[in-house]
Amino acid sequence: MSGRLVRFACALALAFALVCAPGAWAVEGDEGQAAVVAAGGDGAVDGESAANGEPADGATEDAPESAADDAPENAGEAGQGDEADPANAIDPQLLPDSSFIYDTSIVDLAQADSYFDNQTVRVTGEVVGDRRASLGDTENCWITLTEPVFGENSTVEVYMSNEQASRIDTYGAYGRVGTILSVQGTFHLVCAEHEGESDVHADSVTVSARGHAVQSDFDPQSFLPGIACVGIGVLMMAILGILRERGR
Amino acid sequence: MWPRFTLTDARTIAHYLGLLIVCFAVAPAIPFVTALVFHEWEPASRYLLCVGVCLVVGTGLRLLMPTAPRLNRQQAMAVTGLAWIVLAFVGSIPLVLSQHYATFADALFDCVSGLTTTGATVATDLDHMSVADNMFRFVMHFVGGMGLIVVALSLGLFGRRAGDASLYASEGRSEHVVPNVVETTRFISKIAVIIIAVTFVPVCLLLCVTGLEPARAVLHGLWLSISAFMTGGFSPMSTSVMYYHSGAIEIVLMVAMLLGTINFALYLEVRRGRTDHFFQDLEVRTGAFWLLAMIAILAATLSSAPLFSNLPEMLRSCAFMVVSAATTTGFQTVSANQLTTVFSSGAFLVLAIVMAVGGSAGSTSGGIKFHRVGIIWKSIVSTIKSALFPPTARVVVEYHHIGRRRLRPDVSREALTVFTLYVITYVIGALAGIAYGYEATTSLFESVAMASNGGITAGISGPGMPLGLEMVYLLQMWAGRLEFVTLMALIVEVVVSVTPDADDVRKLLNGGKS
Repeated sequence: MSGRLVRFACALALAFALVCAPGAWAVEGDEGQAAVVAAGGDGAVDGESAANGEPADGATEDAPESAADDAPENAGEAGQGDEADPANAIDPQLLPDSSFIYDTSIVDLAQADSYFDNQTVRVTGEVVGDRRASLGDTENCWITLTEPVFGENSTVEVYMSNEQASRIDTYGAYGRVGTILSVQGTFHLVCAEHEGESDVHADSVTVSARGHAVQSDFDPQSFLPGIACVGIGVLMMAILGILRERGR
Repeated sequence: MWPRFTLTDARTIAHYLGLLIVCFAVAPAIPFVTALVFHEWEPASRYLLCVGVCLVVGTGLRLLMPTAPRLNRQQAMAVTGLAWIVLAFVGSIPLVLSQHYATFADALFDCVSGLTTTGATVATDLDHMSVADNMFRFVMHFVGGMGLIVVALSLGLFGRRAGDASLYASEGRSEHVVPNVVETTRFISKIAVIIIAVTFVPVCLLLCVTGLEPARAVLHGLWLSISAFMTGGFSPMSTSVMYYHSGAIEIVLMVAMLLGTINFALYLEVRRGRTDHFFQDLEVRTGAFWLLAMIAILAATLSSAPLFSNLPEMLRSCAFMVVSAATTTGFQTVSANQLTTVFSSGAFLVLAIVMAVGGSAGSTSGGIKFHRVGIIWKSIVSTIKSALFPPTARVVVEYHHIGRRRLRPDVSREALTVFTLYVITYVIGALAGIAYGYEATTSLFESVAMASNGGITAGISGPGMPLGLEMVYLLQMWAGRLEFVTLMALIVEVVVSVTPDADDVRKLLNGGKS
């Protein structure tokens, strides 16, 4: 009895598989094509997740292989040999990069947590203050970058070579806007080389905009309220002196 | 039955407040001259206006009573208590016009922070601030660190008609360096000027070596010296002392901060050759033991974090952090972000506790003070002795503070009262921060920084902070600077004075009949 049941179940399963197989192959072919497009466009972002063994977004681990296998059958989007773009092909021999570069703001770095630590970042900001020498290090110096938009006190300390710093033409202060600098380098939330400070070790430095002076012309009229107040005050003090003399 | 202010009292208080405001005109005059030297025309116009406002408002108040009598104790307390907030109001005028402050409340906060030598700032774009504005901030540190009343007394502003001792004591000064109060204040002023000058020279030279231009090195050297000795904490750059990346500068500033936290009376003892009084002093011994213990604890707490690459570096940095917190200066070598993300909660709280205790009495520093901690410890010893010995035994506990002294009940009571008031204020400020949605430990840290006038901020104080919380912190700074008793007495007297007397109300209701 049980043997008959087993044989019946196997026959039923085989029939079901034969009926559903064509439909499954059709769906898998579409997903494979999408994986090819996603892997080609976001290779830099997904490289890390691939290195970690995690599937890339929008694709399965086997998607590139199945996409490569299915591409000729699912022609159209993926392209036959005539329409395939060699520049878009994925080289599976390429190793993924563990750090990545992206534009970030100085405000984000000023509030950074361990997520940003030891990451390559690119920040753009105004150079303010002075070029400060690094003690015992004649090759490098310290620069302070701040957000060009006023209203925040967010700054970041950048450790760069003297040669890189020589490209700065103006250091921001009262009455002058400093050079706008774009710095690409490694951010350290806690820099072991520099007594635990938060800093960016610059790899490359680009001048985005030159600094300039903000002229503040002498306006005699702006002194009138002050002069008037001082005059009234002196007059009142004279009156007080007279009253005190009379009171004695 | 609480004493009430009469109209005559109010006019007398107004006269002396007016006198202080007129003399405070010298404070904005300094940045006015600075602005002219550096061709900063817009700041020059603002500070000239401030000078004029000081003269007008001050003289106007004096005209309420052209010839004022000698101050009694209650009037002296009111003058001292109100001087800080009134001068802060006047001083915030040029700052609010500088466009570095979003609101008048922000400018007032910075003024109170400057005068009380707290050092927390809500200024925006500090790195573009004019030389004149920065000079004014540090002038406020100098005046506030010395003490408004001390400065006024040393200049003889109140003449012989003021209650010198009452005024002096109302500002939280308990030590008479020399018997004459005026001579005491002059001695304090001389010490301050000498130490600032001595600190300025090496700091300026080190800044030149660091790479600052000579003019900037001179200005930064002067400002840092004032801020260090006055245990203020303002810095000309937004990254505080971290900006200079110089261990040598940090060591010089550390020495200046420690000198600023020594009781001024001990300076006289050293000058008279009585160095044994210095080394045997209760505060010096308590402070030395406390600092060494806290440095060791902080170093142990931070050793697990990957902050430093070697032991000497770690010890130096920990020493600077502890000294900056203990002297309630507020110079920071770690950012507010690092305090909350990298520091363990233990290290964070160690710094808060160090700030809470503060420095020495009779110095420029804030906090509960070593003297009170030492007295409370002696009281505990006395209590234990009383429990062990028979009831008929007379327990005597002695301590050394500018001479050998016997622990008296009123001294113990005063120490415990002020200690309790500090703790209550810390808790109230922390609850206010929590109510505004901040983390509990961060709120407690910030509250301690304000009430102890420490100024090391964990990130709550800054541009855009809630107005209500800003006012709470402002009150804490004010109360902490006056060590609570003066301010509370003032508030009680004002409330009692403006509240109608029950008998008067009854008479009014009965149509003038009693």
